[in-house]
Amino acid sequence: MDAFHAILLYVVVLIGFAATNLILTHLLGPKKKTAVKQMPYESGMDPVGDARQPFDVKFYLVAILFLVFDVELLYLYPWAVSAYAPDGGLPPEIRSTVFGVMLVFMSTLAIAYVYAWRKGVFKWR
Amino acid sequence: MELLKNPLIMAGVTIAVVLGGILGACSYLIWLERKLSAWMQDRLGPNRVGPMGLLQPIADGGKFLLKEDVIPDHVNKFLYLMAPCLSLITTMLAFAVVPFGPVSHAPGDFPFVIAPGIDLGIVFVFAVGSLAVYAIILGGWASNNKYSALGSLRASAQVVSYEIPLGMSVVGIALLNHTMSVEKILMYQAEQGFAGWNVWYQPVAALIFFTAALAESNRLPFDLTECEQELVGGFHTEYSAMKFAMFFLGEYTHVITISFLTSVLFFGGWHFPVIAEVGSPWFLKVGVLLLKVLLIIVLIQMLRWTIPRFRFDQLMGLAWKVLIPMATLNVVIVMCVLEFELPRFWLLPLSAGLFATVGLISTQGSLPQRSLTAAPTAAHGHGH
Amino acid sequence: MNIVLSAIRNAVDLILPEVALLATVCMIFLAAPFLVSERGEAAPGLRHRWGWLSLIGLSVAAYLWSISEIQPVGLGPFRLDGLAWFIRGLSLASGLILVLVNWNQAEDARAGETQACLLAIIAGVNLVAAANDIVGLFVALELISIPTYIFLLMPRRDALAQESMLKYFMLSIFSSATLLFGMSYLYGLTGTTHLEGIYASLQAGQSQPMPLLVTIAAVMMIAGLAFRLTAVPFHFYAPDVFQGAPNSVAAMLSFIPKVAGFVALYRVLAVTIPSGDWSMLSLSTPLLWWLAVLTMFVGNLLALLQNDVRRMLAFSSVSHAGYMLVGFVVGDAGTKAISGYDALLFYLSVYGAMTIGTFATLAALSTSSRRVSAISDLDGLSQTRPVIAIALTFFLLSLMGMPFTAGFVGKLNLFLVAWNSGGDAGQWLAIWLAVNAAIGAWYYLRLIREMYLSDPVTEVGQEQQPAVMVAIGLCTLATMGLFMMPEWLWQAIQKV
Repeated sequence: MDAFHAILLYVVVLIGFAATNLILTHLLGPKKKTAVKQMPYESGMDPVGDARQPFDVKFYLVAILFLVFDVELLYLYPWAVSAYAPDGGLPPEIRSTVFGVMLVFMSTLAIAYVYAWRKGVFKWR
Repeated sequence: MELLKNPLIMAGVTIAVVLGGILGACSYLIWLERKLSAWMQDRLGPNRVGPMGLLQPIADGGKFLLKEDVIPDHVNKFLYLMAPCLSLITTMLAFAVVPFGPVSHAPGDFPFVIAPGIDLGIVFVFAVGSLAVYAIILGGWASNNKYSALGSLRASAQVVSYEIPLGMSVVGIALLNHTMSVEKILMYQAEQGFAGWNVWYQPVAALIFFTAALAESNRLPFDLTECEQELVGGFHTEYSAMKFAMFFLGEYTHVITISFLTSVLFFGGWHFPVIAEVGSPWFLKVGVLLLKVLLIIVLIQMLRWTIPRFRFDQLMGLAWKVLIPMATLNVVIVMCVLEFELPRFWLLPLSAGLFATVGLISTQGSLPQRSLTAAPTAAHGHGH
Repeated sequence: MNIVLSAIRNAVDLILPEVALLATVCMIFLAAPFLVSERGEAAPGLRHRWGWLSLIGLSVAAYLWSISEIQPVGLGPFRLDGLAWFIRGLSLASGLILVLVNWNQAEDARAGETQACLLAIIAGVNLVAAANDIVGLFVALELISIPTYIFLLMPRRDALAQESMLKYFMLSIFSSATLLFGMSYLYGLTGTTHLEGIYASLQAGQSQPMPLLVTIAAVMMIAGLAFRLTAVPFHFYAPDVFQGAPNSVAAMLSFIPKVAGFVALYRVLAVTIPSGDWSMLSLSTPLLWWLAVLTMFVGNLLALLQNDVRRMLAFSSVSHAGYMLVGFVVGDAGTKAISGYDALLFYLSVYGAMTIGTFATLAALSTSSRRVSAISDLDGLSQTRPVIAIALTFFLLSLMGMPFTAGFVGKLNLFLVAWNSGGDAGQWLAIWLAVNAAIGAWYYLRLIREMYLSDPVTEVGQEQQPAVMVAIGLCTLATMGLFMMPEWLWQAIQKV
């Protein structure tokens, strides 16, 4: 557990560092507010329209697909670490079963991947 | 030095060393990048401030601190201020498990890693690195600027898409080395000598890891989201002075972290055949590791001006259509080799075969489109 | 250790029918996008291919089921006891009929995915019955839910379907979360997720110092599963979802989640050997008693007020869930010959035939552009489509519990087990059952009256859809057959 105490200390130090930076610039710099500086930047033009537009659904689809594959990764990590370890690892009776199960798992995901590809989710036009 | 035996004090000393090192290194890496880019583009880089421009980073740092801190009226203040902090904090936090020397767990020894003994290792790096997406999204959203919002959405889609090949390439390493802990992977390679470097057994994974990590940190050739020509500044349009500097510090810290990770996970870390073996003194090991990291960073910087920038759909196509199948097949290959207990050097020709196959398929163009089976009734072909 | 390892190694042998079904699902999902063009057009008649493929998959699964034998429960992830065997048969039979009903519901470009979703749902029901672990139970329940969301939207992508899918999705995920919360308390109480381990440690009195935890676990799990059963405080989605859903989906929704819900409830409430006063079932019996009574009354009373055919049928399915809960509440008690659970299983089988048949007739009447919605759409059906009118009448009479139909036998059994279960609670339950059957008669008779005694008002679809007619025929056969020769079903139930 000492390792995580070190990380906690690190987080605290980092938050302090970032906050100090922000406060320092706020205090140290001059403050001259002009109207032009406060406007949103659109290459010198006056901004037209609101920035909060609804965004395209393809971003949402990418996020959901990322979620699916990331969870697959999470399932792969514990198996990868423990499956073929020389000292522990899986008992030899179920090694082939686990091999088959992992192949089926990854092939199910491959089917989902092919389906998504064919349905045009990866097309980013 | 009884005080140093306390692990927390030791951690504090390591943190101070790391923070100082990274911040100093970031500044001088910026100088190095500017000089390198200049030489590659046949011009001189910074050469005014100090000899060969070596004091330029100090001048830049001073400018960032002393410049006016503009917070535009239309922004969402809390999120606007939090985004650069989040970028800096998450990328530096990822460095907590990366060893920069020979790791030792004995109390009183300098551990060369901020958090020794974490078995999670790489998963920690990915978990914390995934939080960096928040910084991009919040930065663009809070700025309340059309270009920033668009840029941040695209940047977040890019980062999120490349996290999967990044994670998958590590699964092969985990299968071979039975651990996720970065220090243990390093020791495993060091104990096996030169032939034990993971890059000989997982060259495809090394390539995928490097590419995906480059894309994650929005470096060229993947920096469409922050390039000048298209979206002004992308998600950091509305940021100036120190907040902008914090975004860039975050990006450079990410580059340093992935260079460290690449050299530790794939290229044997501090190990080198004759100079730095397991029993060598610590300064040789640290020197070798830092030299490897420097070489990789110089490679990354040279890549910036060598390869043209990817278009956004090419970028996403690369992640989803090329890297993910390659990484998955790599995992399947390692799984089969380990299951059927083939000797390990089989991995090298199999990986080369995989790379060649994927390369052939992707360079031959896409698969031919299937026409409808009811073709006789369609008379308008591919019209719109 | 070796027993566990060999159980894991042989686990797949216990779920071969589901493997066949899921292999068919994978095949369909792999092939479907390649046979549909990028713009979403497909060759006409493609849906027949998917329908035949689904039927082949179901028959392979049915064959594998018929050669499987009931085995003693082990320590593996799956169990093949009597209940699993029976539910498998029931779900495969209803899956066959549902595939037929679903044949023409979706257009060609989307037919493959809808049939595949249906097969996945059937596999999910089988896995719920075969699960030996509460985590496996939850995953199987989700295997039913998630294809249901897709299945609700895919055949018809209009606004009504979107609304029904969204409502079902929102409430379903909340109920799954509640169920998982209750299951986590069960795990915390006993330290294991394996059903056999949970039963053993609960029986050994492990939870005795903390009856509050048992209460919370039981209440949460009942709350999570009552959504599927459309039991009363959780039934609010039913009318809207049924109204917007396509007919085959409504047929599926009115039956399959109930099967899964009852099986999951049975497994999870540690009913195999309740011992001592603190068994989960004795804590939850009063709660379930009230749920049963309220469900029956709310379902019947609100159905009286409806003017839309599907909303009325939704409330009628709510009331039938109440009848089935009566059987569940009675539990192991009952007459000497049959227990409450036996009556419940019989009523489930009969109800499946009746309700799927009802929605199948609605599917036969609907065209792709116009659906049967208001009750007045059914006016004069006896003149425009007499065969379907007779079938629908038969199903409605059976739902009502009229003598000479299987529904009557089912209700009679439930009444008898409730009356004989001993104690006032059971007898009151039986009385409320009879009262509700009488109330229910009113709206079923109203539908029959519309069909026979009114003149046709609106145009009713005249297309011949052979698949649906086969489905209707099968359901009629089942309903009549289960009245005249119920013995083979009773024999199957006694194996449980």
